[in-house]
Formats: sequence, C-alpha cells, structure tokens
Amino acid sequence: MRRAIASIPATLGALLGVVVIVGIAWALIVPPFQSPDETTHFAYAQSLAERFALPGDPHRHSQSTDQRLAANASYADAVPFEAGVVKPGGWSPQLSHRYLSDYGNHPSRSNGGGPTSALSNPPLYYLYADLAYWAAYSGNAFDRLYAMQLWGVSLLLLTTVGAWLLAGEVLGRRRIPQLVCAGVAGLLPSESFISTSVNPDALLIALWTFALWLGARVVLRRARQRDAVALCAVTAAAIITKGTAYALVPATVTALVLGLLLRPRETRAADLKRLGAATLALVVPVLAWVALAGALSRPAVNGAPGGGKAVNIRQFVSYLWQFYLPRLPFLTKVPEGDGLPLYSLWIRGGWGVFGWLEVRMVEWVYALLAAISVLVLIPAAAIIARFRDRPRLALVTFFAVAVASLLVLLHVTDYLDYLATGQVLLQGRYLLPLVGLFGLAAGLVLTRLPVRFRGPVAGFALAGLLLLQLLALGTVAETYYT
Amino acid sequence: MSRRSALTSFLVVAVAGIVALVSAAAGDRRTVALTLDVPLQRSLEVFRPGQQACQGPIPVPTAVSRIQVFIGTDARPGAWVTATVLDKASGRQLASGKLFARNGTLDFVFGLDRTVAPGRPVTVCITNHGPRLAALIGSTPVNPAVKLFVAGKLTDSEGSMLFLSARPPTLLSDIPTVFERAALFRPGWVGVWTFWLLAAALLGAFPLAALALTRAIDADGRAAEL
Repeated sequence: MRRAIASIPATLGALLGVVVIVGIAWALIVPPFQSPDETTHFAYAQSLAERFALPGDPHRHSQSTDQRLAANASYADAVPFEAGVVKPGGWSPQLSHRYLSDYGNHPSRSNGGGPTSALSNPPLYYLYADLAYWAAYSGNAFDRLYAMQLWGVSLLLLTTVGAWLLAGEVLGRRRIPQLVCAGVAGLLPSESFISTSVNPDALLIALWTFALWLGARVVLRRARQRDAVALCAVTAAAIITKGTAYALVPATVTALVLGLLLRPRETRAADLKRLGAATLALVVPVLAWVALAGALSRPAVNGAPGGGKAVNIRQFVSYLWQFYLPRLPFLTKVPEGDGLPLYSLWIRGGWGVFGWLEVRMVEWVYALLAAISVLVLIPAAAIIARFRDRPRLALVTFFAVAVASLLVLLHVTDYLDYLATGQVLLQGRYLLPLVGLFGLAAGLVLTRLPVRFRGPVAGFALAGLLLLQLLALGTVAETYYT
Repeated sequence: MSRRSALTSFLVVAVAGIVALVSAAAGDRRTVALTLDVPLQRSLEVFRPGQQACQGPIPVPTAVSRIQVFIGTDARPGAWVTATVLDKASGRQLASGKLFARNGTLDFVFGLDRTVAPGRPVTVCITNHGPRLAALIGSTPVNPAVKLFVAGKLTDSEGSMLFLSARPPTLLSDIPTVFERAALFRPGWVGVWTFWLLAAALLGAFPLAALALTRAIDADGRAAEL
C-alpha cells in the first residue's frame, strides 16, 4: 500500500488532495435529498441493503418509513420545487431534535422496496453505495445518506485518475497537460456535485472515463490482450451501472477492431481469436444481468418511451436542429428548456446546475463558461483535423464513436420522451461521461501553445476551476441556508 | 518553462477571484430576517370581513420593517387587509401596515409604519376589512410553539410568513448562520466546526493546487532536459 501511494506522481497526489477537499465540501453542504432523483436512488440502495432485494414490488411502499421520516423532517420534498419560499434556512434545532426523538421509535428501514422511477437501473452502483450505508448502519437516515455521499468522493477520485491516465496515454507523460485534463475532470462543479450525490451517474462517469483511457490503450498499443479484457470488463461494469452505458459498446467494438487492424496482417487471425475471448468479459456479465432481470420479471434496461406514437423522421430532424441551432420560422417549436438547448442544457447544465436543477450560478458566469468551452473545443477540433497518421486517426475514430453513440442514445431517448409526454428530459449531467474527453481537449490545446505559455495557461485554468468551485458551493449555500 | 510565470498567473487569478467573491458577498444584502419555514400547502381557515387571523409568538431576530404573508381571497377583486404586529407579552401594538389583497396574487409584502425592534416575541394579526373572504396560506404546524387563531379560535394550522430586515445583513456576515443551518440534519459527528474547517480547507486547496502546478512544471522541465 505504501509503495502504491509512493508511486503516485507528486502532481497527481496534490491534485487528488484538492479534489478530496472539494468533494467533501460538496458531500456535506447539499441538503438531504437535494440532487436529481436522490430520493429514489436512496430508496433503491436501502432496499438492497436492508432486504437484499431489488425494488419494484407493487405491494410495497416506494420509500421506507425510515426514509419518509427523514425526508419529512427536513422538508426534502418541499424544498426542491419551492426553494424561494421554503428553505432549510428556516430549519431550527428544535426540528432536528424532534426528528431525533421520532427516530427513537425505530422507524422501519425495510418496508420500502416498492416501485420507483429508478427500478429499471441495474444494481452495481447501489451495491457500491451500500458499502457506505452498511458502514454507517448504526446511525440514523442522515448518517447513512451522508456516508453514501462522502463515499462518492472515491468515485470523484477515480474519475480524476482516469482522466490523468487518459491524457498520459494520448498526449504522453507530460505532467502539465495531464494536470489540466485531470483537473478539468475532477474539478468541474457539476461533476463534483453529481459524484457526491446518491446517483448511479457518479459511478457511470468514472467507468466511462476509464473506458476511454482503456480504449485509447487498446488502439495505441494494438489490442493487447489484457487491455482488451480490461476495456470489455469496464464496459460491462458501466452497463450494469446504468443503461446509458450501452452507448459505450460501439466505441469498445471500434477500439478492438482498430487495435486489431493496426497489428501485423500475418498475426490477425490468432489475434482475432484472443480478442474474441476478451469480449467474454463484456458479454458474460451483461448476459448474466439480463438473465437475472428476466428471472425476476423486471426490465433489464429503461424501456424506450414513445407512448405508442409513430416516430417521424422529419420531426426528429426538426428536434435535433432546434437543439443545436436557432429555430427556423417554419419549424414546430420543441419545448426544450429556456433558450437554445445547446446552451441551456449542455453548457449551463454541463458546467453546473445544482439541487433539483433549480439552483444556478449567476448567468454571466455561464456565458463566460460557454466562451471558454468554445476556446477549448474549436482549437482542439482544428488540431485533430490535421491528423494524418493511422494511429492518431484510429484514436480519433474511437473517441468520435464514443461521443456520437452517447449523443445519439440521449437524443433518441429524449425525442421518444417528447413523443410520449410532450416534454423533454435531457439534463446537462448526461454529458458528464465525456468529461475526460473535454479535459483531454483542453490538454491537447495546451500542448500546441508555445512552451512559455503552457505553465501560465495551466495556472489560469487551475485557479479558475477552484474559483468556480467556490462560486458554485457559495451559490448552493446561499440558496438553501440564507 | 518558468515556474514563476505559471505561479504568477495562478496567484493573480486566485487572488483577484477571491477578492471579487468576498466583495460580492459583502455587498449582497439578505432581506429575509426570519422565515417560519411553513410550506405553502393549502388555504387555511377563512376569516370574514371584520375578523382577524393572529399568529404568535414569533421571536424576531433582527430589526424588521416589512412582513411577507401569503393570502388567498375567494373572489375578485379581493380584500383590504391590515397586518398588525403586537408585543406578545403586553399586547401593545408595535407597528402596522395595510394593503389590498388582490385575488390571484398570493404573496403580499406589508410595509410597516414603524421598525419592529429585535429581542421580544411578537404576534402578527391580519385583519380583513372586506369586502371579501380571506385566508392565510400554510400547512399543518411546523413550529409547535407558534399558534394560529382565526376569528378567535385556535386552529391546527400555521400560516407561512417571512420577516424582512430593516437593515439587511450581508451574505458575508451571514456565514456563521449559514453554517449553523447547514449543520442541521447531518450525521452526528458534523457540527458548525465542520463547515469552518471545510471553508479553511477550501482556501488551503489553492496552495495545494499551486504545488501540483509547480511539480508538473518541474517534472516536464526535467523530461525536456533528458
């Protein structure tokens, strides 16, 4: 253990220290159950922890008495939608004491497990979160909830390490670009917020980041067996965390094929067999989950909505157009957020919208972050467009498939939701699995700057990210506690 | 690559940013002195023209010059209502304000004719001067000590009310209160001290990030020399 810690580069070690501090602050400052769907995710984890059973039994309550007592005591259900009126700022020690007194009556922790909106999620994240639940088992619901949120800091660290490794693999062991890439992944406010919430996205983001790193290894190191097995295993773990990770499958297959094509022609037949064996690490766990879900008569993935309405390709194209470009006069308006969804959902939500999406930083900050995003992504695209050698083109192809697959899955699901309900459900946090690539783009641009500018720009980026964290944490505290 | 230029860039951004954040917090005045934290769940008991709804005792923490009350009226055009602040102990009137509760609007801010000094529990009475019915908006009691009487009868309800400061404190001066509130409904080992420690640690994260930066520059410099 000591040797493993000693092998961590000093730069990464210091960055991880920063990420731990920020992560703990997020885990503790957010009021109970004040992140998207945290009530349902806690209920799922509690059902597994207390009953060793997945939720969804129609004859049971969706939440246990233990959870309801905690949620009612802290007005968890009232706060999200009336933050301007009902605030935890009005909490009093008397209310807290009253909860502790009521908790003394030993409310049932095991009478939940009924249907929730999270019931189609696979169980891997919840089992991981339950390690903290069990560690704080002797405490009340708040002890267990915050233990789970603090445990999320470990996932934040994993994402940071994954991004560091990704940059090291793609850009070489250059510490400044690695620091910027990992800093972006570990210090993006939305990432800190979601990772320290009870939410499967926390594990999903870490696994995607590792999958992107491993995929890069598979491509650049020509599909070595152990890299291929690791990539397949991480992809499987992501799928058993959340259905969104099926979008990783095309990228994983692309990495394996490209890695294989970069190998000498004469060994490809034998290599193909080895890679075929490696894919068992992907197929077996996923099939096992699908079989288990089938045996339990529960969905293995989120069902595609649509409400029985026919998919209209022209309408879908219109929806996509309006997401990324200003609406043309003859297009029917799609109710996707306020303003251009590219900005209101991807930029604003991707950088940081908190609580149940009602807590935002001041608007000019988002405009500044949009400008910074453009300053990173457009130069990165220009640099990539000049790549001509096979390995780098293969790498770009792998990343492009990962991005495109995720976007296609999100937009198709969103469009089907729109068909079914007339509403859209996309949120900026759904892009967070790609946070490693955003960090990589920032690191790539940095490597193309004159050497004398790299340190100052990295300093600007790190200090800026920390300031953004202070602003985001301050906004959350100001919203809920003043 | 120069450590100095990188550190200078880091420090300039960090110091300028922290100064800007502190300045903003020092200039951001909080108008809400006290909220009863009663959710807006339903209309409470109706009081007719000439009747009153009185709620108290409410401890006022700072000087208050306005009160925000949530009132429903059952028909257009609404009702004239007066808010009167009484000393709970003596029943003496401390301040009052009047407005027209227009139907369709829920939150009404009464400007008081005098500032209510902090330090003593008060009762707030809303008098309906007609011509329509009126009802406070609120929920079942949240604060056990606070009682709501409507037309002289004790109810099992509590009206939502906010007390607005005469001299609003700044966000910066409110930080101790923020930490006190944030420490509620947390694990047993978390206290106000935890948030002070976290605030200090967040400031300490800047030197740690600077250390990461200088180590990265040193490592890349050594690699370039090899």
